[in-house]
Amino acid sequence: MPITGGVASFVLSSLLWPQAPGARPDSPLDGYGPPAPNDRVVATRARPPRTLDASEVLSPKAALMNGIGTDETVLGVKVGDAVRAYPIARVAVEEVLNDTVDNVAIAITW
Amino acid sequence: MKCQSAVVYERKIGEQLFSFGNLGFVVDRAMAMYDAETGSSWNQATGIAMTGTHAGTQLVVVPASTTSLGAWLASYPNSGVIAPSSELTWRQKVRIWDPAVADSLLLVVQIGPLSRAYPLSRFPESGLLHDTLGDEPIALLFGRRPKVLAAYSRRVGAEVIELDARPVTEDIELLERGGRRRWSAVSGRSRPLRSARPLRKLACLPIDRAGLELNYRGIDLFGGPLPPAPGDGERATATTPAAPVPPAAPLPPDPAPPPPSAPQGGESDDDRSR
Repeated sequence: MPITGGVASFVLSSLLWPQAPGARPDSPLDGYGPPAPNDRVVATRARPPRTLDASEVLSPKAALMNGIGTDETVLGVKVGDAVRAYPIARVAVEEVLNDTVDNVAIAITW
Repeated sequence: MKCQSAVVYERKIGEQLFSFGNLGFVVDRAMAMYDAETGSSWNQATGIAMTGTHAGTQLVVVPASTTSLGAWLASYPNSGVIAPSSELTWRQKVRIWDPAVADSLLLVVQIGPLSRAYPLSRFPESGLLHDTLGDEPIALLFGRRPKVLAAYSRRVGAEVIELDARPVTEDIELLERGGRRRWSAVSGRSRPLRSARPLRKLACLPIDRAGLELNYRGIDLFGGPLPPAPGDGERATATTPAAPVPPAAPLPPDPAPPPPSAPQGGESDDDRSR
């Protein structure tokens, strides 16, 4: 029951983050056009915003030692002089990651 | 199933900085996300706010390369790599290079208000496709070995060039047709480094057909309408006239020519991916 699951997700998240100011809209899709067949299908876990910490940015050597293979699909980003690779499998945990690269705030999404 | 759309956005509009979370469900086959600052909900595949204070606003896409880690590190050996998560209990399979589904995937390129979708099934064997979007000559690359998905302007300074593709170790080399200049398809940088201006990377995103039909209705399709998909039935197709494609980020300024005394290698080159 996808719609029921969506409602349950809302309830659960409101219990998880009751104090987040303005964090989650109560009815995020109200007024958003005609419904598509899979609207509100629960595809993953609801997640609060996740911002990457500097300690999570590894050197290539450390990344390989942590089990990330060279065949891993990544989103490669170059902003200013900074270069980062975001393994899509890692991004897929939250499906959206917040980061700041060379003073530019970015969101990596999957 | 989600739509295989991997996109990087700037998360600042004007002076407003956003922190995005995941609403936990899909809308039009795309992840629905929200910002903690205003509670607006956003469509991940289009970057457009669906509801809330910013309804109708679109995030700016940051050009990125979808490739293998090995190919990325061959271009940027000092690149940072984001660590695995302790919560990594499953992996969303990246199907972009899966031959079984490649026919149902497309690449959307956006330049300012213009967008066009390129079915991967219509790429030539070389993986390199030339086109002109508006007045911008572009090259799209869907490389299989190594994996590279990227789009570039074919305007280098005042010149418009044509390119050929040649696989090399951990990269695909883009060769100027009738010329001597060469570039990395992963980074857009010249080979050897600084021997020419870098190619300007364009905003592009992979998406599956169903996701395209739901999120980019009415978008121009390279090569004309797609044949009906199995089980299409009454479902709207990408060629159905509908809402106009929302505006995208303007083309970034032309990268500055390489300074003559610039150092070689590493991450201190002068090309701008944004």
